[in-house]
Amino acid sequence: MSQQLTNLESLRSALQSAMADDETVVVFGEDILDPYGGAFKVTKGLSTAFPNRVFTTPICEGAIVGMANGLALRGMRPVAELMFGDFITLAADQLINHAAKFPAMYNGRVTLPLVVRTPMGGGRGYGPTHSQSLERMFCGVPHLSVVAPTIFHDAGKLLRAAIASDGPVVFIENKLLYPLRQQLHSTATIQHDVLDPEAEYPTVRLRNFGAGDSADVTLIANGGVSRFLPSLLERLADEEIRLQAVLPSVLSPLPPIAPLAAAAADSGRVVIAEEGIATNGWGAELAARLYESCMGRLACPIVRIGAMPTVIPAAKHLEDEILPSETTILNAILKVLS
Amino acid sequence: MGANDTTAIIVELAKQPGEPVRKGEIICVAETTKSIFDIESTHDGFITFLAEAGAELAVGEPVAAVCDAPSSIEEIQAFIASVSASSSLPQTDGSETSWTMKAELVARQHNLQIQQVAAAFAGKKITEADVHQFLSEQSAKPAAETARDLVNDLYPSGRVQRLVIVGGGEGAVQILDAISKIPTQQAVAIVDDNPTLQGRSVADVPVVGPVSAAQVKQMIEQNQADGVVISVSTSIPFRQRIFDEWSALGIPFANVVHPSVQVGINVALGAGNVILAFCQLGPCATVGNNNFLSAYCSIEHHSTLGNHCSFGPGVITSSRANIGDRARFGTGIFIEPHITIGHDSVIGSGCILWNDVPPESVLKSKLNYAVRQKKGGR
Repeated sequence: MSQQLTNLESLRSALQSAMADDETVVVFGEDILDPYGGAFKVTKGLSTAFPNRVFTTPICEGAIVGMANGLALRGMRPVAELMFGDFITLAADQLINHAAKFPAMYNGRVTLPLVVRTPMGGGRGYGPTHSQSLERMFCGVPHLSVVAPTIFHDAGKLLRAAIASDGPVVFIENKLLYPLRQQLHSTATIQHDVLDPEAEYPTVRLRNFGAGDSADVTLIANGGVSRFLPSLLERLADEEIRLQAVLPSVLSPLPPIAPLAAAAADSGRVVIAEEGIATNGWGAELAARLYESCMGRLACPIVRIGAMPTVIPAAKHLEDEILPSETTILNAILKVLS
Repeated sequence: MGANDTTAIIVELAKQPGEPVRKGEIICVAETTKSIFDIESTHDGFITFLAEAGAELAVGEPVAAVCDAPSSIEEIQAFIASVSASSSLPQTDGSETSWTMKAELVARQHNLQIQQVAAAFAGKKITEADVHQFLSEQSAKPAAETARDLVNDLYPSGRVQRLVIVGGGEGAVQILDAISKIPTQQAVAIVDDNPTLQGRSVADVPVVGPVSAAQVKQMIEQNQADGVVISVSTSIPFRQRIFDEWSALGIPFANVVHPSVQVGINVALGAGNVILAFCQLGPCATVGNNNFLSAYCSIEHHSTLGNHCSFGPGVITSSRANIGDRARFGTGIFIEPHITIGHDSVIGSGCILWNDVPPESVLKSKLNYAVRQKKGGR
């Protein structure tokens, strides 16, 4: 088998192929033109290949998404890049009050095929305003999808699905995943399968044990948290702890709860991990839904892991204390097992 | 620190080594790729620099120490070394870990120290399977090596009390019915002298042999049972003999109290009692040992019941009855307040007692009724 693409390569080639396949796809954002190719290089080469449909914008996130809304209403498929996810707050009005509402307000006579791509996440020492994971602020907005690939998802395929979708999508790219190779198949130690292969945004399951056994603990996680999993799964296999990691790629609306509830009930012990703040977070909604579906089938309360509810420091050693890590997840797993 | 900086250069020291500094005073100036910035003292004290001007330090490396008294670099370094040594966790070296996390978790679930298991399997990394093996070997050990404790040491508080029932007749059936409704009790064996019962079972509980103190004592000692109860209600001498002899041998007797029984406050209950459905033990009643109370009996408040008594259904006392040992009651008996019933008495069915009963009395009701043929058939 050929070597897997990195998350960055997968996204980059998806943009290339989406533009090649569909002339209504336009891409724009700050500093995305070659030779610079964007702050994280996802659009590198794109403006050279499609000079008329890739353009750079002023530093104004509200205008970027507002313009994208207008293009989408008029039949284009805009893909807007926001340089850092922290600045999506500046585009919140366009997303919440306009993009998500237009199809319903116009009684379904318009569609809004918009994708807003943006990198989230810390771990790079970028400080309080360039390190957050704000996706939870857009979770629960009616008619707005929030999609976030892990390294165990084909990120490019998810991006193509988002571009093909007729509704607005906020597409979260965790910064630390960009250089990592995607792991789309089982290895000697990690079983990889997809719970819902037909879904637009599938949910991946990873297991560090063979079929036939049931899990000791189920970890439900998303996006950037996936970077800890290759090491965590192997480490726990050495410790004889059967870990099942369930990774939805769509954060909002939540995927159908039944497969997640079945996985949760299988082990009876659940940890939910996200990189954003856990308070009022994605994991809180997910936990509530699991409690509704798993009444009496959980052995202990669900434990949620996320960033501490404070600002993210720039100094690396302080940032490490704020953000979830392999250690905090491991400790949560041991807690639910004890 | 700048986002991409992993080091900073100390440009200038703002204090002389050993000089006093105040919290908030600038002690040195550092430079990164994007800026030059001041480093302030976090405490009052005397400063010792650990780096010179021009040094390039990694993020997190100490620049200087501020102490209560002037200190040398060597003293500071020794202090840092001692702090980092004492804060390092045991077994940070993965190769030293001698058990898996799963093994430790399983051990903990069984109230076992993983070190106990590790000691039994010296020289290998303990796995979950090893812990299970250790546990099964523990439970297979002869009872003499395992302290038996009916209070709370050996067992968790919600443990099930395993009972041996003496006698496999209808009394046993009543007791088994009560036990089936008591989540903390379980019948494990029946002993009965009737040879036709041997090898058979009563309500799935096996008859394991004749009424033999030796066999029951062995079961208790081998931790196969926790206590005994006598199901025979018709022979008081038998009840007493078994109870007294076996108690003298150290065999513990258990109470079986049907869950529908109402027990008041301050009730004192001995051992070996069988109290069946809908009985009442009123507040401050005292019940001795080895009594058998059929359904619907009431030992009313402040009454005292001795030992080895046997009650038919529906024996109702009023307040402060005082019943001696080995009394035997029929069915449907009412007892006025403050009545004393002497030991070894027999009270026939239907009696209403309003006077004291001397010991070894036999009471027969004179209540009578006429029977005539119903007119007109059905």
